[in-house]
Amino acid sequence: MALCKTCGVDIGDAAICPLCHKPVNSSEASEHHEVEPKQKQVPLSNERRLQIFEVISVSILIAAAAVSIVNVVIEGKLSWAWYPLFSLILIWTLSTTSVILPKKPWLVALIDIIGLSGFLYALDVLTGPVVWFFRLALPMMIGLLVAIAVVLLAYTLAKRKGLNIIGWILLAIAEFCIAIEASILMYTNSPFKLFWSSIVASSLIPVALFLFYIHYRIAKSVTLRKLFHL
Amino acid sequence: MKLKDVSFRNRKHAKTQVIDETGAWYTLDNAAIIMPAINNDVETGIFRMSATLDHPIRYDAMQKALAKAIERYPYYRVELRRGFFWYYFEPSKTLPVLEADEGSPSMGYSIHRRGNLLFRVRIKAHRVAVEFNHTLTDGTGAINFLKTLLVLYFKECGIEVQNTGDVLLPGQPISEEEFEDAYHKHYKADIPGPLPLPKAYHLNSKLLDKHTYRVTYAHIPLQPLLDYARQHKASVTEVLVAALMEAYIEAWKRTPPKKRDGNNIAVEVPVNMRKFYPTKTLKNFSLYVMVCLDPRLGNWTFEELVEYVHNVMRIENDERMIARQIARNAGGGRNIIVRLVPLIIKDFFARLFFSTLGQSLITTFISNLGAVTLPEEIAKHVGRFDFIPAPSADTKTNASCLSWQDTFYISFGSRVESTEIEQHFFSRIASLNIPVYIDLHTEVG
Repeated sequence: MALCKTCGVDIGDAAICPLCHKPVNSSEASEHHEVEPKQKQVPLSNERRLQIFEVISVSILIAAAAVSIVNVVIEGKLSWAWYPLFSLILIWTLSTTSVILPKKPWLVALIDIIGLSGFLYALDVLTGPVVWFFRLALPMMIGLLVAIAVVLLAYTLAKRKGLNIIGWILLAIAEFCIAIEASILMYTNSPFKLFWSSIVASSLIPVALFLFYIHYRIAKSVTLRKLFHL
Repeated sequence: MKLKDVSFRNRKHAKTQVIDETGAWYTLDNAAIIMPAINNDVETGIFRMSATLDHPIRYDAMQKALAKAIERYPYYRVELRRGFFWYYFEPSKTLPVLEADEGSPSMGYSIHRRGNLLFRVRIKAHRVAVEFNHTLTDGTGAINFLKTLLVLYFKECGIEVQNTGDVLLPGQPISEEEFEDAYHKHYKADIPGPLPLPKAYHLNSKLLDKHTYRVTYAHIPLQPLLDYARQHKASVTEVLVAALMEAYIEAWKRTPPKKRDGNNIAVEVPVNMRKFYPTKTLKNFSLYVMVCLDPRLGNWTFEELVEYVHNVMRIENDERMIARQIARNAGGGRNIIVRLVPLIIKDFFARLFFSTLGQSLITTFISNLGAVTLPEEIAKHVGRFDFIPAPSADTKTNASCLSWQDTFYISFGSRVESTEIEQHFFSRIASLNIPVYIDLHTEVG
């Protein structure tokens, strides 16, 4: 008979207790556990993030300076360079937000959407009087914002992530397509009758539902009778 | 003719075992259907029964006994699964393995995790404990399983039992009645549901850490307790309910009026329905009597409280009164609209109703399992039994008890820092010239 000093149970001839997995005759072993350090993924340090931010910023600044100088040298003022400059600002916004805000996907998405909207507004201003931004681009951007929010929300709330997330992405795409067509119809003052986006949605929604079904319901031993018993 | 139809329908609804191309699987009984939705890290729904032996548990012998015991209870060797409309039990390939009895009892175990059974067996030193989720069974099922386990364990240790009495053992035929849904079997159509209750008072104290459950064990000599109960023409349960009610009345008085969430002291007393209806079921088959008192009405002496509880129990602890609960619960489960609601929505409403129509109407509960018996060859090797209630985030401090030989064992399980209920309860019992022994192995995990 051998008593485990931790559990107090009789473990017969065993050298290691099957309950606490500690050696029987070692009281020290019951006090100290040697745990092998696990290799874990080291997140980017703040310093490293700042370095990446700096490299992106400097690269974009150089490109911006180059197009500005060329424009001024040829035309004596900034004219066409505004287009690449606003594009570079957008690229800078999109590429640096996730670097400097690594654990805030909601904030990153919001800043990116605002950045994209700002870019479109700037293009509208540059091409003449503001005509299409508020009636066309902005509703589309709101549609995109909703789509991204749906996916982010599903990702945040899902306990197990897999096909369900793909399903949500498909639903978000369907929603965005509807938003695009609705925006175009509004902008062109056409009768509000969805055509191509409804075809896209009616294809994507059943696929998404099927993916949810597979993800949440199907397992080796599952039968329809078990699944749908009343 | 109508009676015959109802009887046929009841038999049909009472069947929990279904056999299809994958083999046998089980539906949940009527009391269990709400449990998976409301169980979480705090509200684990796990109650516990333990036996303390006269020697350190022999691991090998107990593991062998467990493997044999589960053969006799195949309807307990199941895992919880989600269907589209209801949960169901899938027979598990997992053989239960003994676990170390560390940390808080009844905590840190999820029935939703794949591979987890709905019960576990834990051992430490001289003690073996079975922890069952209420989705699987009630106290009667758990104590039966524990008794089977003990008989098989002692057999492994070389102690043969000649007359095993009511203890179920491998090799004995498994009756379908053992896993029937007795609520549906004894459902009566066309009777009204129970009367509504006012919002109950709940103990106003800071909650313990999320995974902590404090258990206070005590034992009381049975004879003085019985004598006191007989002197007052009451049962032991009624005396204990009165003491618990008094403890909560005192807590209510100490709580500032603005902090009281209700004024009804409602003590739930589970009732084993097997005493009313013929069934061999080892699934859930208990309901409850609610003993309520509004402390705003005035003051009661303890003797008056015992009399009050006795009278309420006499009226309410009656098959006709409790059948109203079956009518409400089983009737709801049969409603075609309810059945057709997807599980995800059922879960949402189950949580909502459990909180608003269940726990908010109950101040506390005290469950008395009654006398535990074992074959005499092994009874002398068992020092004590303990019964711990399932933790509850709403009712916070609850009690469970049983008697073993000449001693009454009572355990309080609490989710709050305050020990005022336990303190008042045991002080009251002691004031009746009944010795109370608080056991030193009070656990805070």
